[in-house]
Amino acid sequence: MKVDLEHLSRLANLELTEEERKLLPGQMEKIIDWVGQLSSLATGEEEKYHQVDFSLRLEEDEVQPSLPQDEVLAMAPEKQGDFVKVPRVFREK
Amino acid sequence: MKYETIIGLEIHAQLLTRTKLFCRCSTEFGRTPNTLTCPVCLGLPGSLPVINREAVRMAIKLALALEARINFKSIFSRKNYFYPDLPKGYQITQYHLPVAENGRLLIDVNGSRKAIGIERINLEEDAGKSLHEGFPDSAEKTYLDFNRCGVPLLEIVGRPDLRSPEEAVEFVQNLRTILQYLEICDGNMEEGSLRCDANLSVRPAGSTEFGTKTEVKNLNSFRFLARALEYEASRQVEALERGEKIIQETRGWDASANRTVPQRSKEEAHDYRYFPEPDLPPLIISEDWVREVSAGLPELPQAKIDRFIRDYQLPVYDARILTGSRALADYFEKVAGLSGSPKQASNWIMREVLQYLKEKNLSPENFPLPAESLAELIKMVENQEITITMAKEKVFPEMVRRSLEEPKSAEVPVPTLELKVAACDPRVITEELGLKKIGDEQALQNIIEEVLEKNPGPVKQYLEGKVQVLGFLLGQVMKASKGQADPQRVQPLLRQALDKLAKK
Ligand SMILES: [Zn+2]
Repeated sequence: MKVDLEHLSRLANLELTEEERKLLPGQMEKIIDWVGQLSSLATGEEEKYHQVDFSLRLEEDEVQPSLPQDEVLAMAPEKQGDFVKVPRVFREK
Repeated sequence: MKYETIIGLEIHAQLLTRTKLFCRCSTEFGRTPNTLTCPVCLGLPGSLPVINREAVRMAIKLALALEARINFKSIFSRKNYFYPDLPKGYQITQYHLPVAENGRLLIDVNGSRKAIGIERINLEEDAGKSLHEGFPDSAEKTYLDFNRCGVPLLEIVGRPDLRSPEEAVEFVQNLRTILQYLEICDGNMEEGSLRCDANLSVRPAGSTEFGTKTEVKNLNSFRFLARALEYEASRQVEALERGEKIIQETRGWDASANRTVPQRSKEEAHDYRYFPEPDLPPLIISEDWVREVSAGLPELPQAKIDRFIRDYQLPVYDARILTGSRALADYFEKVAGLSGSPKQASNWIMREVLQYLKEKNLSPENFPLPAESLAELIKMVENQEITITMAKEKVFPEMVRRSLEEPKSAEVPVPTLELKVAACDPRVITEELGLKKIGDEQALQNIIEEVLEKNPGPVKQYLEGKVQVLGFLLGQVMKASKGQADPQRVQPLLRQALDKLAKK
């Protein structure tokens, strides 16, 4: 299977070096072909969505404590006051 | 050429659960930014989502109300895209198998009912909030509040069955009323708890093929919805008339410029790479659960309208307005039952009560006057204890004023319904304001005699055959009685008195 590295790197928001551009397509195609063997299995609708069998758990609608704000903001590369700060997101007018 | 407009709506309704869809962080609105998050809604490694039972129950409620087919097994999927207010990098939504499909919503079009198809109902999570303006460095930075991340939404995808902006507004209004009746969404468009996107195309009238459609976003009020769709429809018609092709694109409503403007072009359209959410098993809904939810469903707006018309003999117009909210409909039924006059109850609520609510910008559940009190006032008018004018202009406003005073007594320190009803008793108020209708014949006779004595000129004119003067004299009697006389009764008495003078 052919890999459109240009398209994938854009979707994944990744900048690739020239070296990676040469190396990755071959490696990825190998991986995809290897995983692709699974398609030869005769599966039902069920297996198509979920392979691991774990049962459904629903929780009651009762509030549990959230993380402290300082802990959350500490994980962000940049913050100010109560907010996480990121480079301005382009907004068409 | 005549054109037909084709509209399909996609609505997002924020659910009134206490906690988020996949974690138990609170959904409370207006809390300090970034205080309602956890590893699940931030998408931190190793965390696992757990579905909120109440959110599923709400989805079942809406599915039943929209007569949709509930999928006893539905699948959650990941919709992948990068945006800073989506810290996980994907939104958990439904794609392959939604929670419900193939419903319908009824709207009224020129007096007849039309069913608008609902293609699917999805359970999904909301994203966080981006603030692009209002900070000193807003030119370079975007500020993020993740509190809303993971708040449950129902996405309601309508079929392109709507044929005018008015039908679209009617659709959203009816859907909003249903959501409010079901108590699953507050329906506040301005605050974003009900969001609306539209797909719109036009085609020559009579054609059966669809034209190229555009998507119109950012329709966050009924006014904008109608204006944006009207604008977009005429923009497309004008383009076609000029021989241009419609470009399939996303356009946003620019309220300040009063027009729709292109947002992003199709070439940049996202490739969302949907795939089944591996951290969640299929959502299983049992038939028993559906039955239980169905049994607890309230009477829905459309059924209520029909019943009000049938049981209370109300005009369609009244029935539609009175059922606009559950609280208003309940209030009407109480007043109608207690007063025994549904038509009068309707008149009072449609005029006085709604006008008061509009003036004070209140919703019907916050109307202060107990139904018991309004029913009592209606009975007094019906029994001719007071004129309708006095009831409306003097007694009603005073009752409302007193009902706001939250009466307490020494024995009962908290305001109770009984205390409130006693405090705004229309009989007491009528007595206190001296508005009791002059029913006493002698009192009326006295006033009439007085008026005739004071107005010898007009009396002479009447006796000479100028009967129009009767109206003037009647007005003088009403004035002398300070409006407490009943004109229906004054008129014959006045004639009698004049006839007596004529015989002299
Ligand atoms: Zn959370």
